[in-house]
Amino acid sequence: MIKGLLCLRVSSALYNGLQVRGMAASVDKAMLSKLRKRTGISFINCKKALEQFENDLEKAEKWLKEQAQKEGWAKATKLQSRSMSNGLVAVVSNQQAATMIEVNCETDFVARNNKFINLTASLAQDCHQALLQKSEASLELDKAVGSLVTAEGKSLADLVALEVGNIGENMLLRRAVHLKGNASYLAAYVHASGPEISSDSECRLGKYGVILSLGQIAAPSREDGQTPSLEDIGHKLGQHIVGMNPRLVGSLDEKEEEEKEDESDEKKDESDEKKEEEERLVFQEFLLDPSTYVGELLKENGVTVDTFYRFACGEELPQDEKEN
Amino acid sequence: MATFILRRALSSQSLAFPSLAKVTIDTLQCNRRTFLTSIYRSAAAPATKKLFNRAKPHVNIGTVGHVDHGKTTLTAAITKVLSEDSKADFKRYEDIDKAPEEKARGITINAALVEYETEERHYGHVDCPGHADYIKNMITGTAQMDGAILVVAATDGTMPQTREHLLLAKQIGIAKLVVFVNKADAADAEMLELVEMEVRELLTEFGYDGDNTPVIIGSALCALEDRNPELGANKVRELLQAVDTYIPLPVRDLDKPFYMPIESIFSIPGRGTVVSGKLERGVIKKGAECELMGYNKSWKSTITGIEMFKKELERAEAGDQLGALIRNVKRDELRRGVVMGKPGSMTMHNHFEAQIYLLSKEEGGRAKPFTPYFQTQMFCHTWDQPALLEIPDKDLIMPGEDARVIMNLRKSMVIEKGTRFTMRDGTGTLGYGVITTLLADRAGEDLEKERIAAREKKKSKE
Repeated sequence: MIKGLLCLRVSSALYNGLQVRGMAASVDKAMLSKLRKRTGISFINCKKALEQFENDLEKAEKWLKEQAQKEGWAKATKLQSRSMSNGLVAVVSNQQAATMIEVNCETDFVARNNKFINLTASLAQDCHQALLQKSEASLELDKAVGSLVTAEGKSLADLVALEVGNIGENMLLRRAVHLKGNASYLAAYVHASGPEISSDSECRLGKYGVILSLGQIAAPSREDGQTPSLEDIGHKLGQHIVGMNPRLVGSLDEKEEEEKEDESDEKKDESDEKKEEEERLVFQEFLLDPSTYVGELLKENGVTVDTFYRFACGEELPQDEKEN
Repeated sequence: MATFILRRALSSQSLAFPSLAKVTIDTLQCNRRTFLTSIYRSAAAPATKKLFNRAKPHVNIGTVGHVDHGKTTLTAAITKVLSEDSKADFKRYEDIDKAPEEKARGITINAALVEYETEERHYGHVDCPGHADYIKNMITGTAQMDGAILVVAATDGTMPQTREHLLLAKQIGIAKLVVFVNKADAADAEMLELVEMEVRELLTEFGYDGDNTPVIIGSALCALEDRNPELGANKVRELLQAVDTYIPLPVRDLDKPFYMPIESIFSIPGRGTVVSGKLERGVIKKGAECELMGYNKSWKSTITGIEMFKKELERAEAGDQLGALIRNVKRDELRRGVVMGKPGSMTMHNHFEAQIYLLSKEEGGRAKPFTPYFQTQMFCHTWDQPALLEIPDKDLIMPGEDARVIMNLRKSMVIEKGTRFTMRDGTGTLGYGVITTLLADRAGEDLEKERIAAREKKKSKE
């Protein structure tokens, strides 16, 4: 105890001494190199740290790590006006619940970097854990998701800021959605733009992400008698939603009403355009088999889509326009 | 080696006698110029020697690096320094930096930002804003980099994403880079030395020659603000010299074996068959042997006459639109899309790998993604053929994305690595591509079997 106190005093004395001498203390090159290699923090800050602690590597490293969070926030504040259109979408899902987040950065060089990938994966995990504690069956969050707190007591925004300090680009945890399984089946699909992105956790990352909940309402009534698993249907519907970008689920009953309304003369001419613009999932041509509609596919298998969420990384959102 | 000595001489001189520095540099540059031109001459083939005097060779160069490390400042500084010798128009930082706004508005980035020339070469200078952006520009053919300047700020050192910058350079086949360590005015000697070491290490790790890559340490801002010429203007000049000497010239089209995709075929009574088209590259002379290839067939022949604008000529060069009289081949045997080339320089394939870019809806493409075994019409040079696309790496290719695909044609055509093509359907252009790898030919029946097998597999899974 006494020893510790003594140490503290000595170091603070050293620190004061340094203040007086200012820049006169020379920094050992080997030390600088070592510190940089260990921490990955910019040369100029490594040098500052070594000057402050008179080439004491341990103390300098400790100080740098303490400073990193502060520096990160300072940098994040400085960069916050710069536009971000790149980044990653991450999905964590199991049968209990699914969480999808979007993290943005400025260039896709960063989006391809391992540090960013790991950051996004761990944010997704932390976000998932935090949202599991909430009672709501489904949640949609905007930037406010940053105020969620991890098991270690840090906010998610803190984790982002730390990496902003390190990578030097503006970054943001932009939004998150969370779905609880309850009685329905949860499926997720992620589409990566480049090669598949691997992360060590059960989190999947890419440019587009979809989570959806399916319900089995009836026994499959397929002519060939084969029954695909919900998992398989979920995977295919995920692909379809990524590819065709529906806005709503829609219900099959609507169609019948519509058909009654418009007498079928002009139907043929418009049909192509209509097909392209159809925003209701059940009326869209199925991406993997254009001879059928999604609605038919669902009916055939006795499945319903209860809800779905689709994130395209960097897409414009209605709430952004309001802000501008 | 010469560069090194010159650089040494240059920097020591300028440090010792700042007032004399300008003069010394000028003379040194002068010497160097003649020295270089002489290398140049000895390296060039005698027949094409004249062309070097006619115009400076063109090289495309790009800056890569972290967003805050001063790529734009450096580009502005280069134009400023060269504008003093009236070799460039000075472009201010703001003039160059309009790309981000365009990006925000979803406009394709204006790839060729700046042009300038040095004593030896003419440069097109592009900034490389992102991996996908660059790949897209490369595939569509709007931007190309023969070499690159990696910009690293001395204050930060290399960034985590510098690895991704080098990975891109490697992927697009840039063989040599020059490094500019920027912001040297804000760092001290120890730091500079360490940053240089770090960059060299990283270059070596990515398969570049880390020991011999020129690393120039300076400050683009100093050059731009006309202060501290030892770190500013002089270093920018030194950087340009390094680019001039270290980054190799791309092989010019004229030096390649001749290649002419046929546009149309005529039969001239009493003379024979004439094929017309644009000579894409190389030089042809009257009496030269040639080979004709396409649609699974090939012919050997001799060019007995060349005509341009109804006048006969002895020799035609890349870029010429010409008609060639060929011996012993009947008009009905040939068709548009066959290629006439130097014997032995061409091969036919129906199976190859390509990197494609799919236009987004906003760019005039379609909204739907490509799924495996997608069929499209491939347009390349003067021919077009239906092509079947396999997607090896993913389930879908979304509009606005680039991807590796394997393409299959019904008939073998003259295909080369690096050839660009367009993909269309009945309604419009779907995307662009560039051929990356040639694969062993595949019989149509085998492909059909595979395709059916894949479909069955998909069905049985459902």
